[in-house]
Amino acid sequence: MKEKIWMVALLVITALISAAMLAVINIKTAPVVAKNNEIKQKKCVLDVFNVKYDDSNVESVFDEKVQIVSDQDAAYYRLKQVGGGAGGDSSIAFSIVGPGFWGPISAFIAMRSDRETIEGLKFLKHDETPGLGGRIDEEWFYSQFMGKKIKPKLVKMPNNMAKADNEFDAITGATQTSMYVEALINNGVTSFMEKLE
Amino acid sequence: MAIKVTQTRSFKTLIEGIWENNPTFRMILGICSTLAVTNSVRNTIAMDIAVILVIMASSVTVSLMRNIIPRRVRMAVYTLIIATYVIFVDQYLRAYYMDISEQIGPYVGLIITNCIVMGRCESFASGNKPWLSILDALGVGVGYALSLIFIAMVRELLGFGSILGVNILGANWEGWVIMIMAPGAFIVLGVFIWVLRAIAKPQMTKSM
Repeated sequence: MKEKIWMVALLVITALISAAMLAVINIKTAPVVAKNNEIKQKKCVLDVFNVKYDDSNVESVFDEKVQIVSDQDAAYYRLKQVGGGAGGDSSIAFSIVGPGFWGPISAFIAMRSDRETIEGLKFLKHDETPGLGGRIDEEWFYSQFMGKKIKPKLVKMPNNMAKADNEFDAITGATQTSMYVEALINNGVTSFMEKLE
Repeated sequence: MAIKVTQTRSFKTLIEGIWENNPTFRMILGICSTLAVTNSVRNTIAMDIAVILVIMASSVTVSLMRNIIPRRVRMAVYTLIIATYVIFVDQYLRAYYMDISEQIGPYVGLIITNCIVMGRCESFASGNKPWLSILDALGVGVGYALSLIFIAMVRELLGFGSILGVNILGANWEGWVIMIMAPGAFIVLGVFIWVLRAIAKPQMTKSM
């Protein structure tokens, strides 16, 4: 009997100590993690607008250049106009989310004023296979979207065959990921534009 | 001091983990993470450090508690201890090494299922003093780390033509896609085990 009580007691004590330690580390790291995510998001927005920044001045550049517009249904970003004018026909950036190979892929995309030409694209978060689908984070991949048109539809092309301005090069060995990226951009932009109207 | 350093119990415990009890090619443990993270040397090193820290911390804790843990609930206690340290490491990476955490994030959480950690707690730390347990954990951890780094070097070299991101085979190198994916790790691991066992064979028969 005594042994049984000790068994339960020890488990409870161990669990309590464990929980306490985890609570402490969570309290300590949570603000840092949140800050990291915020900075990462801001970097992503600056990247899709092709605004230059250093790791040290992300926040000040962001505050200086970017304006957050929150419509009723759709929040988006746009560059502040020189002289403080509103400027209704500039590029806008917004986040798009869609399914990926292992988990959701989220990205920021900037569209030029015609609303069908891509100004910039950058992935924020994904769980694609490192070394294969994970290569969507490489510059050659995401930077090729600049100037591409999503109308009638953005299409992926195998083996560096992309020529027309609605075609992009897929990643060799990551066909699925490339398909998901294609769908992410097409669906993401279309549904955002619908919301905006 | 009549006895040499190499003959002390501490030294033997340490070396055993690296060679005679090497988790990867002798005990074939921890294969899940061996397959998962070894397609780049940088990620592998991060994973190795995480595993070594978790094994050492868990072993020492189990060793300190070895006389008060009832046998029937020992696994539950080990799991709690290991899980605590794993989450600790995961949170730390997430806060201070965000880019590494994004690359190997899911696998850090899976350290808890790494049989090496549980194995050392059960077979060594539960019956030995803290000092020896630390050395054993360090030895096994380093043994695991060296095996993984070796596999990662082969895979990154053939898969991307680089090591630690530095291009070695030239810009015209066509990466072997299979080396980037898990099957490539199986092939390299198989060859690795074969070669090392062939080298170790004379020793193995002698010790029998």
